[in-house]
Amino acid sequence: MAGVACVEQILRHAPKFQVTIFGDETHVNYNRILLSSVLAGEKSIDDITLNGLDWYEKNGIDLRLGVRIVDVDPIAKTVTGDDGSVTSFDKLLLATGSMPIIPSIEDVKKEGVFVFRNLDDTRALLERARPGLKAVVIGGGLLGLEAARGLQVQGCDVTVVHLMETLMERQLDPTGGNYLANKMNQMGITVLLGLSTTKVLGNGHVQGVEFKGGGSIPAELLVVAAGIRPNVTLGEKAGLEIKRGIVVNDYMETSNPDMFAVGECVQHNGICYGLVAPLLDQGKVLAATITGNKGPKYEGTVLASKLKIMGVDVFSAGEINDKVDGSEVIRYEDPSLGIYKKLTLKNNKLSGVILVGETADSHNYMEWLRSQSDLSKMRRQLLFPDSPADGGLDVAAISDSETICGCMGVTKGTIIQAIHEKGVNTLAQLKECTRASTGCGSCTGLCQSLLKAVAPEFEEEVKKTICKCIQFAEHNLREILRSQQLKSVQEVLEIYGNGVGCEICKPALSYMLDMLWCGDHDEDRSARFINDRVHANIQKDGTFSVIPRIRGGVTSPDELRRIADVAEKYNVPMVKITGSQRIDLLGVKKSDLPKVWADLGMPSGQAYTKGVRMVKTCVGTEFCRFGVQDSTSAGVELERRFENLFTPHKLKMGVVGCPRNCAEATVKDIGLVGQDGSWQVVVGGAAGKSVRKADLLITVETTEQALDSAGLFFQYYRESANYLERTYDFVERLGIEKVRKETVYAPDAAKQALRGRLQKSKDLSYDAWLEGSQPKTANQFVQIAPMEVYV
Amino acid sequence: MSRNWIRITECENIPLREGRVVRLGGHEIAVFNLGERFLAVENRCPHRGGPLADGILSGESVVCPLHGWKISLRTGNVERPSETPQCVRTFATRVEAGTLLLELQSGNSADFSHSPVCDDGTGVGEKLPEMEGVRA
Repeated sequence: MAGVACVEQILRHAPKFQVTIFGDETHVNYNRILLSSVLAGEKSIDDITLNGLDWYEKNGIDLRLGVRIVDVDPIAKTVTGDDGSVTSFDKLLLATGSMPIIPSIEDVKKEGVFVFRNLDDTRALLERARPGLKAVVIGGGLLGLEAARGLQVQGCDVTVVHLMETLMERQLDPTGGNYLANKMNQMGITVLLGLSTTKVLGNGHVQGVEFKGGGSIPAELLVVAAGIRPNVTLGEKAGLEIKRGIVVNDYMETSNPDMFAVGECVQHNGICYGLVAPLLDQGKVLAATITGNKGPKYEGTVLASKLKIMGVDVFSAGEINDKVDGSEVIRYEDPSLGIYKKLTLKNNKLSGVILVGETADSHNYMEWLRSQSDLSKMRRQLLFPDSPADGGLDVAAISDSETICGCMGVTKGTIIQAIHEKGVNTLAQLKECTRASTGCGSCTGLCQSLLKAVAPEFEEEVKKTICKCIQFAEHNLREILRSQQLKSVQEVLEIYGNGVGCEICKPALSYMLDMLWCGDHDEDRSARFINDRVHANIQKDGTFSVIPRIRGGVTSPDELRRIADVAEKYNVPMVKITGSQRIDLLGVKKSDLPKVWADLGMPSGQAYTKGVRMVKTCVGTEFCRFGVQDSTSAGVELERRFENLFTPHKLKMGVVGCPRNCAEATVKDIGLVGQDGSWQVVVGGAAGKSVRKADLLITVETTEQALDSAGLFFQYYRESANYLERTYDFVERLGIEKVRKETVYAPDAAKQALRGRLQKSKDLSYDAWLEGSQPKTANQFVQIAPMEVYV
Repeated sequence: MSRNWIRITECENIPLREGRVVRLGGHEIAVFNLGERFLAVENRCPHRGGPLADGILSGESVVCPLHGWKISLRTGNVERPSETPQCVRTFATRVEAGTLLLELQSGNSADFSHSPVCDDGTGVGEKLPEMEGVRA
């Protein structure tokens, strides 16, 4: 990463170089600091690729992937690869990075022990991680915590073991570390402090870890993230001066005038950096030096680090030691909110900052650190800078010379210029054009705000999350809710979202919780759309429509009489036969709903919700002279099995007794098509906004087999589709082959598990209209009568 | 303009993060329980008259159940669609010994059924296009 970033800079100075790049990894250069986002499922591997192969080609760079340089001959000026190749050079640039430190732990070489350093490590962890797996991470620094969180998102049960008494002790003071530990605990990650791991337990494969002084915990997966050290092997072979890293001066020159080094492998002014911003600063200086434009100096970098864990905001920059002579500490903490802020000042200038739980102002602090501006006039607002009226950071107030992207050193002026002169409109274009926001990603919000304010045709990028409140893809979120045993919408929003929620995510989360916990959760009606609070469909004038369940469209004179009586008694303005073989009473007042339901004496038809609507049937063998299957009985039974259950979107079904398809089963979400001696089970049909012929799931002999197959698909859709995704989009997205493999052709154990979960949900489901006599919330159906009369 | 605090109901009668309707003087007021406080607005979306009390709360705003207009309960202003010059009337609330009180100002209660004056001084504007992407 540092090497190629530096080559980018070199090409800007002098494109005359003939560049060859060797890398022992097989992937083109990628953004290493975002590996934790890949592990956490927030980004794909493609998302973090920095330069595609075409970039190397365009710039005439000879790229040798998967070749490790094993020797350097400083006299002959050649390098030797592990493939036997010998390549000569005029100038050599070493960007060998760093290696994970493996502490001396007995039997650390067991199967199931990983480090978390490169793309292959990440892939291996993703392959291994699965829900319920016991994972232990040794190391409570940035990398260890990010690895822990990533594994947890993948469903693992994670424990972090840290040698020191507080987390991230290199970036945080003990109080900050405690706040962070609390937050990690709240997320369901166990944190064990002050423990030295001495031994990996297990026979061949890791089964646990043992601590100094006895004591052990079980582990099925172990990640060692105990720090890094500069990789200086090649520097040594080249005969360069080495201390902890390869020693370089302010011009990034090593002890050999034809050799240079950059990144985590170097030591400058006694410091080895392990963060991204210094690498890029160094790259710029090196590019100037190596191209004969020697002049710019590297004078060290103000260190800033940000923990990249969604929902855990941690920022630290500058000096964390507040015991330095003449330093003053300004501190704020709120244990309930989990917010801790500490600023260290020296002579009215900011020298260090620690933020936990609230990092929105980190940009201001970073600027104060860099500029070393006199803060005496701002003393009253240091911890709580005035928030601009629009809620977001007021981008207009930032000066053009101020740095927006610290990693890539991009100023506001550069971004504005790119927008105006190069027609940049999207974040992707901005990244391509200026490299802003391609480092740690913490300035993404600022870049977006700038684009929004300045770019004439700003387009926000569509990220596959539910909404802005909660930045996770739905499948990850489902896994989080399951593994974290989260059981209320508000809890999810507080830990993983913005704490507030909106009309999009609240119903989606409500559905997920209901689907996962089948009633064993905190059903929060405030997170439901009004239809699901009063179990009727709201109409344009605020009245409701009432559709009782008429299974399979089969009713009786008695039911019809009651419906007629209700319609008259409550002055129902319209009684209508629906397209689903049911009867709709339109225009019912909310306060009349419980009485209407009681008088009807019929269960809810769920016509107002994302749930099981109905089964449309034809008369089949009972009366029809063409019928070959008893479609009405099968349809009534199908409706009985799934009724009262909820689905990602509404779900309509149909059963027909012969291929003439009179009840249109082939354009339903689930359809059973009777044949002579068999049933076809079809799924993913639609005749609404979209029209789609259903795909054949399977052909089976008996009605029971048909109902069972339908049940497998039904439960699979409930568990795997995104909220508000109809079966026709779901089946099309996955492909019917995959759907078959996961349902009717799945291994018996998997099928049994689907059936079991469906049965559990069904057992706990109930007719929502029972709430008419037993309201779930205060004044569920009625207005509040004021205590005093207003005159 | 005289001020009038009206005792409405015991706080627990309005569930957390939900709204309920109170009828006063023949008009409907939507009262919301935001946990740390109550907020009240007239129960009528400026778009098509939707019942705001039936909406989902998003922080201090409510989303109308009919077409997804988003109304600030604090200011009464329409937040979505943006730059909509319409608003709803807001009412001050107070809690006293577990009882919720609403403040009515007799000066403007006389024209309660008319459009309120929005913050920027403009009254009700033109009809605006319906919001898309709202569930049925």
